[in-house]
Amino acid sequence: MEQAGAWWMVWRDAEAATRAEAEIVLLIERAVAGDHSAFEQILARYERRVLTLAWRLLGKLEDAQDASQEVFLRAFRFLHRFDRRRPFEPWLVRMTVNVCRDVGRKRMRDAGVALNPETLRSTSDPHSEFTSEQNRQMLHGLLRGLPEKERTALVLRDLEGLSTAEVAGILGPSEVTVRSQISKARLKIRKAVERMK
Amino acid sequence: MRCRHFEDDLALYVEGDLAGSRHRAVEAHLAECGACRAFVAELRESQAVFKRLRGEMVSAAALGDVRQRVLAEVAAAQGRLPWGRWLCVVAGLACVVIAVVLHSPPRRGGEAAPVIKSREATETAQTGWSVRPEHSAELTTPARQPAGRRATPPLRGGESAQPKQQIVMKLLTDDPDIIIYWLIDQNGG
Repeated sequence: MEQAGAWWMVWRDAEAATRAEAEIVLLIERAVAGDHSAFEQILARYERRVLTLAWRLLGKLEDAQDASQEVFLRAFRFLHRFDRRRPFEPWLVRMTVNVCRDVGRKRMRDAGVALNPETLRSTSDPHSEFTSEQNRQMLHGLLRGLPEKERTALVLRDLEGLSTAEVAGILGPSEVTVRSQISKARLKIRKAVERMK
Repeated sequence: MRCRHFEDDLALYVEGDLAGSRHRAVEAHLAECGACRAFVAELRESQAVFKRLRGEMVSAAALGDVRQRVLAEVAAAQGRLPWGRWLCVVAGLACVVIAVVLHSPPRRGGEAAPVIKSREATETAQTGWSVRPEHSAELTTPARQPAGRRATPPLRGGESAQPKQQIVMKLLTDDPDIIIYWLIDQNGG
């Protein structure tokens, strides 16, 4: 009986996902035809996902907002090129990753220095009691300190909840490479968290 | 002391990213290695700390700001679009005009092409023939020449420096096998 309930939930989720994809395809067709409100609906549907991902990748909300704006403007410009037989969200996530990569590199050039976990450790007091804000700062600092490819793979896998195959599909390299990047990043996070204790 | 060569696999194992034989090999190793079990426990802890970032939510104000900026840009872009289209249309027309001018055959002496519409109409009405004016240059084209005829040589002596205009009239009769060519010079001869 329990198993039947589980199957029912899986089937219901799959059904909902298919319906959502069909809806987004219709919205895309309308938006491509010049329907402004359809594009607004697409924006409303994905803005949180895009902004949150950009924030995690870039670490600063202002940068993430700039990146999200660029992502949606690119989506608007290139919506007619989107292959409607494929799912829309990975397309948008890939675009977000690419834009954040550009923004991140530009910010790094402007700042003139690369952030690394050592920077974070020297500014944090390991004996002080961690407030949630300190924790948050520490974690963002850790993320920023990771090499770009490791950071992106880790965020997509551990924070966005994608599978390693999906991450590989979005980022481009083989799944083996992506696993290696994720593994290295997790080991660095563990080391940093252990030092913070 | 833990087994360093297992570290990469352990970092994948804690989140269920290992499959098949490697997963089984790690499990078998963990069953007999206390150091690696402790390492896995540390990894699970650090992963739990790291995943607290999942709970972070962007504010509605931040989302609203992005939405406003995007929609303003999109509206501006759509406003600009017709100008862009008009520019494309104008540029396309200009290209067509230039192509036509460049490929049109040159006219001699800059004179206007002869118009003999009224004559054609008259002759067609009277004789059932239709008359088509042709440029003199076409007279020398063998494909246009009836068999056995040669191009008329240019006139000599007494000609002015200015080239005379010649018109070839092609008279089409009801019989498709009979075509009459009529050469007219400036004097109407």
